[in-house]
Amino acid sequence: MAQTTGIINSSSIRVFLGTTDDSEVVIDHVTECSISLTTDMRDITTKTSAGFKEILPGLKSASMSVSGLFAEDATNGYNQLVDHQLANEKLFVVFTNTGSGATANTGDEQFDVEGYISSLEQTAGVEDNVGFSMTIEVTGTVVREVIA
Amino acid sequence: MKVTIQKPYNKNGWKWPAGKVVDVSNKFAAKLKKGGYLDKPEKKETKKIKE
Repeated sequence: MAQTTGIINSSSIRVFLGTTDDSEVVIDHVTECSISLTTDMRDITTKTSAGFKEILPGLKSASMSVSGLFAEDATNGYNQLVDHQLANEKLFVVFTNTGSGATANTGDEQFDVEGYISSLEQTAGVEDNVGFSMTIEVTGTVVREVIA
Repeated sequence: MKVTIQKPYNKNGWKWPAGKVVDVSNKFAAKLKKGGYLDKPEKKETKKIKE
């Protein structure tokens, strides 16, 4: 399959995770997901900077946010996520484009990272869906790779 | 990608019976295929009894 052309439908972006590398399963009932990469900047401004701030890139970091709906019988949902958090388990996470949902879009690119759940919240209002939201802090290298 | 597990899988923190449909990463799908978990079990030939 070739790389997808045009603007991608955001519903095609899915998050898979597991406690072993290359054993990731999709997080069920996700409504929103995002990944954020940050590069801290080192201030190298000196008296010879002619009055303008000068910087160089420093530490890089990444985090991922996922929100979804709670289902007791999910294959990989809140119940599994809270177990991972309470056990301080390292997670292997793939943030990818699954196209129509049946097969991975080979030729497109995906994130393949490792991290820990830093926050996990379950929400329950009145006559509404029970939901959850989670943040994963990435540890180590952020890999951006072509889906093979 | 969605795959159907053809024989019980009890590894890497997952415990699934045969017939379970799971949506897995492309690399996990390759691993499952390599391990024979996505191959349909061969059907045993049944002898037809002539009447």
